[in-house]
Formats: sequence, C-alpha cells, structure tokens
Amino acid sequence: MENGGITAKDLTKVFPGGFVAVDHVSFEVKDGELFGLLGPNGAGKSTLIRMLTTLLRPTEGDALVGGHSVRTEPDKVRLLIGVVSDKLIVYDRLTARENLRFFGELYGLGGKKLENRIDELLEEVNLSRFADKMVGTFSTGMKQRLNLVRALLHNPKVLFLDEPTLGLDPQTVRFIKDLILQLHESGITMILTTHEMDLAEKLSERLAIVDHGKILAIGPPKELEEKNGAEDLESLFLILTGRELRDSLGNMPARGPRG
Amino acid sequence: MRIAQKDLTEFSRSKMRMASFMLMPIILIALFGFMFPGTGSIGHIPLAVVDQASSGPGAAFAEAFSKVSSSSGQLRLTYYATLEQAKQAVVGGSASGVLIIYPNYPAQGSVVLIVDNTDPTVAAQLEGTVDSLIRLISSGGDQPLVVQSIAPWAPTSEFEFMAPGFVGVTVVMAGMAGLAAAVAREREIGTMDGLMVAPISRSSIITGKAVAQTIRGLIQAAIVVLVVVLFFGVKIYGNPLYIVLVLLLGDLGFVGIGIIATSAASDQESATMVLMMLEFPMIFLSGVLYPISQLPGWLQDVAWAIPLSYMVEALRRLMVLNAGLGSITWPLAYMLIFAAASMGLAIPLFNRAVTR
Ligand SMILES: Nc1ncnc2c1ncn2[C@@H]1O[C@H](COP(=O)(O)OP(=O)(O)O)[C@@H](O)[C@H]1O
Ligand SMILES: [Mg+2]
Repeated sequence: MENGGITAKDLTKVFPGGFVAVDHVSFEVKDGELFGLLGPNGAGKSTLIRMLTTLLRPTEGDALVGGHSVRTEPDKVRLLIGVVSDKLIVYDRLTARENLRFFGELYGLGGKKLENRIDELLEEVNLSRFADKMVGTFSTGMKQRLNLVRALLHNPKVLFLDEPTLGLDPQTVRFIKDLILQLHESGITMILTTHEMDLAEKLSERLAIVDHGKILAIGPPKELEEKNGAEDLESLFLILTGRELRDSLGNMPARGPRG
Repeated sequence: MRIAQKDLTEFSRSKMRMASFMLMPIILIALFGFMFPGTGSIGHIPLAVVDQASSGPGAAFAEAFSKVSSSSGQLRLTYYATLEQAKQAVVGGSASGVLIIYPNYPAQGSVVLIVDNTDPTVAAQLEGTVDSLIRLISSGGDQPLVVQSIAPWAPTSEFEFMAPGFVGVTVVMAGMAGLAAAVAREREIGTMDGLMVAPISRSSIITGKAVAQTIRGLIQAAIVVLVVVLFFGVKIYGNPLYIVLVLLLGDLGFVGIGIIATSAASDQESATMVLMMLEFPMIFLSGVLYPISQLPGWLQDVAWAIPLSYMVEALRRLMVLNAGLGSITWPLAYMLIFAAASMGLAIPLFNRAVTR
C-alpha cells in the first residue's frame, strides 16, 4: 500500500526536561487530502510535523507516512515526502539552479532529466530569469518560491507545509495559495499549518485544531464551525483555544535537528 | 556606556561564558608557571656517542666523559658503532645530538658535537653542557671541541624551529573551529533540515562536511607554508608528499574533535568554549613555541598525550631535517590511530545527536 496517506497513532514527544510537546496524538490524513493544522504558538504543530518528517524521533507512538513507519523506515518515508517551513532550506551563496541541482542530487536525480525538471520548476514559480543569480540577492518571497520547488524536485507524494507564508507579502501569499491548490489538484497529499485563518479555511478539506500537544477538534472547517456555533474559523479557533495570550517560560522554540 | 552595561549584564547571565571567562586565565597562568620553572634545570639530554678512539688519550677521554656526564646527570649517553646510526637516532628523535671522539684527542677538532638544530633551545643547552664537561676533563691546552649542526644548513632563526608548528596549529584551529562553525551555520539557517529529510545517510552528511573542512584545512596550511617560505625565508627540506600526509592525518583527527564537540555540546556557544579550552593548552604544550624536552617531566607526559605534539614533531623532522618516513614512524602511527579514533567516534556521535 504505497499511497500518500498518513496515519498517526499515539504520537508523543517529550523533550529532555520532561516537557510534553505532543501528547498521544492520533489522526489520519487520506491520500491526496489537503489537511490543515491550526493552533496557537507553542501548541506543538512543528514538533508534530518534525516527527512525521523523520526530523524528530517520537518518544512514544508511531506514524505511517505513505505506508512506511517514521520510526523503522525513515529512509523510505524520506523518499516520499517534501518539507517546507518558514526556515528556508536554500543556500544564499549558491545560485537558484545550483541549489536545485544540489538537492536534486541528494534524491538520486541527475543528468538531463534533472536539468529539465529544474527548468520546469523554475518556470512554474517565475524564477527562470534568475536561475543563475545568487540566492542571497533574492527577496524573501523569491526565496520561499524557490524553497517550495526545492521540496517538489523529486515529485513527493506528501508535502508538509509548516507556516509557509510566514513573513511574506500578500502577493507571495496569494501565489503560494494558488500553487497549493494546483498541487492539490495533481493529487499530492498536503499537511499545512498556518496562522492565516482565511488560508486555512479556504484550502483545507479537513483540519485539526491543536493546543498543548493535543487535538481539540478535527473535521471539515464548516462542520466544526457549525458544531461549535462559530461564525467563522477565527472565532472557532478562539472558542476552542481561549482568548488569553500565550505567555509561558522555560520552553525553547522548536529548533534544528538537535532540537 | 549603556551598551557596555548591557553587554556586561548579558555576559554575567551566561554561565558558560562566565565559567570559561574565569577559568581561562587561571589555566593559562598555571600553564606558564609549570612550563617555565624557576631554575633552568634541564637534565638528561639524550646524546648519541660514537667512540672511535680505542686506545690512548682518546680512550681515556671517552671514559672520563662518560663518568662526568653520568655523575652530573646532565646527559644521557647512548653509544653507537657508526656515525650514520648515531645521526639516524637524532633524525628519529631519540637523541638531541651526536658526539664523536676521534683517536687524535686532544687535537683541535678531535671531539665533534653535532647538535639537532631544529630545536635551538636544546641545541644551545647541549653545546654548553658538553663544553663545560670537556673543560672539566681537559684543563688547559687547546679546546678539542668543534660544534656542527645535523642539518648541513645553519639554523637561520628560532622561527625555522617554529614554522612547522605554526603550520600544524593552523590546521588544528581550522579543523576544530571550522567544522563546528559549518555545522552551526547550517543549523541556524535551517538548511540542515533539508539534508536531514533527504534520503541519504546521516554519516554521509557529516563525512561530506568533514571532507570539505579537511580540504579547507590543507589549503590554509599551504597558505601558511607559502607565507613562511616567501616572506620569512624559511626553507623546507623535506618531501612535500610526506608533509601533506602528516597534515592530512592531523587535519582529519582534529576535524573529528570538532564534530565530537558540536555533537556533545548542547549549543554552539558551549561547543566553541570547549574547543577553545582545548586549543590553548594544546598550542602551548605541543612544542610549537617551546620545546617539549624543556618542560618539567610530568608536563612532558601530558604533552606527549596531545596529538598535536606528534604532528608538530613529525612536521619538524620532515620539514627541517628532511627525515624519511622511517624516522617518523611513531608519530605517524600515533596520528593514524588518532585520526581513525576521532573520526570513528565522531560519526556515530553526530548521528546520534541529530536523531532525537
Ligand atoms: N528542542 C526543544 N526542546 C524543548 N522544548 C521544545 C523544543 N522544541 C520545541 N519545544 C517546545 O515545544 C512546544 C511546541 O513547540 P512547537 O512544536 O514549535 O509549536 P508550534 O509549532 O505549534 O508553535 C513549545 O512550548 C516549545 O517551546
Ligand atoms: Mg511552529
């Protein structure tokens, strides 16, 4: 069964020091589904995604991504997934093409086929003109567009998007939204976290609202709103997660692989 | 003024920085204190002796010399049958000089001392000691002693002694700090995640980084060599291939240490701190600036536990003495083990640190 579905079972992450960032989370994402993940800062969204993308080892539980366990078959999972977050995975001192070539080669691509794929992808995000320019000279929006196609080089079955629109201008947000819809049409499974309620509401077929490492509600946005008597996603979010500001001490934000 | 205050406040709140801030000067001072003990008490300089006088005044002198040197405790004599063997002992590092006693003692030139001029401090010490011992035995008359250098060229300066050490230190500093910085940078900008989610082994990530760093280290070493040769008149006598081999092994070994520090430390700042704490004593103790043979006995033991010491030793013999591979077998073997051990430890440690 090698489709792009995701099954998480009791996924848990306890950080050194005992902080439980993700607490026995179970859910399912169907093949080809566009799934939204919402929650206040520190809710555990990135930690959850890092476990699903094999960047963090679950303390407990497991997840199947495309039918493969993130625990026991991380290499198989890695072949199937693409990862995009607000941390841009592109090198400033390489050109756009060199960046894509490097990452393509990590996936075992090469030769004419890779070059063609790079041309095609750069065209897709309107960066063909800048193919041989240093990425360091790019605007943040241009970098994120490049970062997006970087994640698509190897035609992943599942794409993880962790706040892909953070800090971007409305034009780029719009562009990314269109790209996501286009990818959705092509049948790729996607998990999207975002604080842009509008984006989540319009894009997600189903979504989960998480807080304190637990799923509070899961389902199609309209259904969840109706069930909780909320007029839109934003009020649903505030009803479920409370209105107070999230101030807490002593926890570090999710960081690189060392975490 | 406000900035100074803020900086100090920030500083005082970082335990790691505070600790090293206090420890560093203490370590350095202690080190210097031990390195330069009050009196110039050097003893037991190893000297290779070739006794070619089988009878007559030469033989008597040889016997007398052996007595005074053992009773004074200043020299440790080893006898060799041929001059060639004795010279090999010097090139191989087991003796600091060769003393040849000819039958025509006490004519001038009948006693020849060949000093190891790659180590000027010891060479001077040896010359003084031998000279004074000979004066003890043969009072008055002609001075039979003639002093030569093991290398046919005159030692131009202390700098010639130090240059190989500087080349070694460059590689060490670059290896340890450069790798830690390269890993930290990828983590900071987030590109490390891009490598981690790719279907490649964790080992290949760190191996790739280590290879890149090793190459950078070798290039830096080449630059240092060029500078000392072109601008400071240092001559290099040895086979460049062997020199590169020694640099490569040392480079790999210390890149490994860099990986270990980055993997073991909780954050970049502590990794850098740990590396600094290692680097300083290492540079002072490994014979770069000051000959190991001049350190107090126990500190010599410490010095010979430091891989850099072997690297500097091998480089010095290669570069200044034109030693062959045979003369640096031990330092080379030690460095090979060091490089293998440090890399062997570093790769799994890194893999573990990034898979949490
Ligand atoms: N490496 C880590 N060590 C300790 N705590 C962490 C680490 N990474 C994240 N956390 C904590 O886990 C919680 C969830 O973080 P994260 O998953 O980044 O939340 P979100 O992405 O929903 O904003 C936060 O409280 C954060 O401080
Ligand atoms: Mg996050």
